[in-house]
Amino acid sequence: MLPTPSTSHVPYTLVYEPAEDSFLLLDTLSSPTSLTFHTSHFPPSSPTPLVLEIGPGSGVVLAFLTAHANHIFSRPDILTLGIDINSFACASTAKTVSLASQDHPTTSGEFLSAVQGDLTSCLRGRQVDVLVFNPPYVPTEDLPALPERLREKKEGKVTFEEESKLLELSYAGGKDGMETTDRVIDSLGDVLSERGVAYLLLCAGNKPEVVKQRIREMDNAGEGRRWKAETVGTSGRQAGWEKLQIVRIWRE
Amino acid sequence: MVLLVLIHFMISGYMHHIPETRFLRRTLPLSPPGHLEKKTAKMKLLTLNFLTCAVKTCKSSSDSFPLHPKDAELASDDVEVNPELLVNLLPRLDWKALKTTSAELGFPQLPDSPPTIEQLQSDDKLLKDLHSLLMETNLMEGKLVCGVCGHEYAVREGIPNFLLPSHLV
Repeated sequence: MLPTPSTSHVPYTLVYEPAEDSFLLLDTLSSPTSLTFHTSHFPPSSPTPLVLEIGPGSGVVLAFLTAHANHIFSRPDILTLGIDINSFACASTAKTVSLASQDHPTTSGEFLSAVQGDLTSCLRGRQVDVLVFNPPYVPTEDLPALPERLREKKEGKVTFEEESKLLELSYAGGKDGMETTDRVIDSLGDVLSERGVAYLLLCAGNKPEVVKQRIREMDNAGEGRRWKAETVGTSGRQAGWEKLQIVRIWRE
Repeated sequence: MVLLVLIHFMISGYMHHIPETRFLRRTLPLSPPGHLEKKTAKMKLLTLNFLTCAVKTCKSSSDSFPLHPKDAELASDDVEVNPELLVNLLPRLDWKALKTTSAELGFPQLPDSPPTIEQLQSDDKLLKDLHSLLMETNLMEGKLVCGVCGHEYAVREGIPNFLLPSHLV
């Protein structure tokens, strides 16, 4: 098993702490079947793949993908990028990735940066080859907003209310826990490259079968192609609320 | 009409402004694990080849890409030259945008079209220039300006902020 990157420097009062969902992503992305898929999708001499994680939080998943690029994509020449709405998560991600890369110099890809932003709004179209998203998936009454003061700068002490808002942003998904995830799904056609693939984490409360069917029926896959959405990793109790799964999404 | 003049002023305002660029070498000592120190984040210059203005209405205009660095403070890493990496990277870059970014930051002028593999392998200076630009250069502080709306995205401590004020969302 590939080692999990260290996140001991991350301030967990401000940034989501790696948990079962993060570890399910690590195991799924580094599985032998994922390696086979990546190797045929991104053969070694094809253009360098761009890997994007939305909402990397502590950076544990992005650091894992960067540091172990050669084991996961069968090539070390990948570019990785993180976009998070929380500036503390951006700083944490940059540190986590840089430490993990230093620990694994021979297998590591190239980390571009951690960008503070709203999902994929700052990206040029159709550039992302691998998109990873562990969304705020818990069904909640309301979708939280980022406190205005934290949009601009982070000077001054973060108040207790702001701290709880930042953590709420990392898990609260609104109706069916899908409000943020749905925005990402709707943008996939514009964000992914022709060979692009997305890994999306869902919980049982998100109605994963309905979500997968909705993706398969999207009409922007391009001439003669269709969207595919398949479950490639699961964890948690079989019949329980907490059950998690990773869905792979691509065009074929 | 007033709006048009304003937009024109905003665009020409920064076009005529030559960015004051400070080039710092090796200013980032590595810190031991367990300390989240300031300034550990860096924005690789190559990132600019993938970013555009976050304002929806700007995206349809080709002037929203690349964003223009202003008051840029750069820092450099020492990275071993890897010709294979550059060979795989070049076909996926927007060369024209890279040429613009490179010129705006005062780097040696790039050729009009991307070099072939053979050219890269035979032209040591070009290889080193590209390596230094793409793999070693980081943006630490400054602003990134949209060529359409003139919005300035701040880069602080190596992290660019693309969150828009609520009236632009």
